[in-house]
Amino acid sequence: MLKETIRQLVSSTEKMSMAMGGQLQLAGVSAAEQKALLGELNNKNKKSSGYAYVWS
Amino acid sequence: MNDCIPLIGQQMRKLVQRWFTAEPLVRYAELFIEDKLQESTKFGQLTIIHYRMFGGTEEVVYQAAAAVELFILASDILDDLQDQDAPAKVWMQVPQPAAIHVASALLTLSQQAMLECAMDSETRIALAEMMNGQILRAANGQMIDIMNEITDEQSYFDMVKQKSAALLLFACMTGVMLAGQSWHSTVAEYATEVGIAAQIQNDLRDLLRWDDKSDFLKRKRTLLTLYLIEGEAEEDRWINDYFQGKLSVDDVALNRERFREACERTGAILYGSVMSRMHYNRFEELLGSIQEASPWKSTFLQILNQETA
Repeated sequence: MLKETIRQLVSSTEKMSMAMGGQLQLAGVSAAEQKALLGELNNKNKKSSGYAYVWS
Repeated sequence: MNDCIPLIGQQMRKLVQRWFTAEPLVRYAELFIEDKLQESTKFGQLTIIHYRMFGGTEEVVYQAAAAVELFILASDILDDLQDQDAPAKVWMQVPQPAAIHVASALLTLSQQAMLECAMDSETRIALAEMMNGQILRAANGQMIDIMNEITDEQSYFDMVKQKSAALLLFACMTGVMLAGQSWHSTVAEYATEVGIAAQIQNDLRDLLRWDDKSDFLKRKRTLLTLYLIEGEAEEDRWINDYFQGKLSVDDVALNRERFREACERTGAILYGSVMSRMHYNRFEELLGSIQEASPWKSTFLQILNQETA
């Protein structure tokens, strides 16, 4: 379901803005997936994702 | 933890000097170790931090960390020989039979070094069983990866848990068991989570490159390439066609920018980032649940965040 949600978000600027503002109901997406999704959306412009590659 | 990096290197060299007697074997092994030390010793550092975390205080942990790193070095060499995509690496510039032989010898040296670390036979047997078990899991995962036998997300995660996460688990659990503890299921779980998160990050990097290591050009099935080929947009049909062999490398050679744009537009990059972050979040949650880890948390995260040369 996360996959479908992401496909919908990237195809709609409006939905994306709502999701970034935490205003979009993300049905079928687990709490852990929502937390990660919002974390990524809100950190999109930051340089570091918070962790580096373990393997080269 | 930075102060322990030279000690890991020192132990790796010592082991080579003690067990390898043939001059070319010593020479190549030392050469490969120097290359490895320029890059990263994260796995060995994870062994040390887990040993300290669970109450270990002896210097013998540096040899255990060296054993872990010798195994990782051997795997790196074999991986590059299999993929033939790292011509700059020093082991790719020596005669191939020699590189294969050194890698095999390092695997056994790693086992020998590990066996010598345990203070008693019970710990020795437990460590050896854990080590072999995880290495065999990694070998199974690596084979699935080499054969590109991923068919869906489930098989991708099964492969990653074996190929990538088992090695992290091996590094962490070595420290735990050497400190006298038994198998720690939460450590096993968080090592697996961080292994998955890191593998997805690597896949994200290899998705967007456009050289011998490009997952797309190699038609390699990963979480991200699966996402892309499942897409139904007409303008991206060429991606699926390439994966099915209907288009050749020459047909898509000039499509680098078009491919990058498709990865952004379809959400493939966002999907990978979210999945990686989700596993990383779970790792942090599990780490937070272990009382012994509390004073070591920031050092642990620092090791994971070290840039790889």
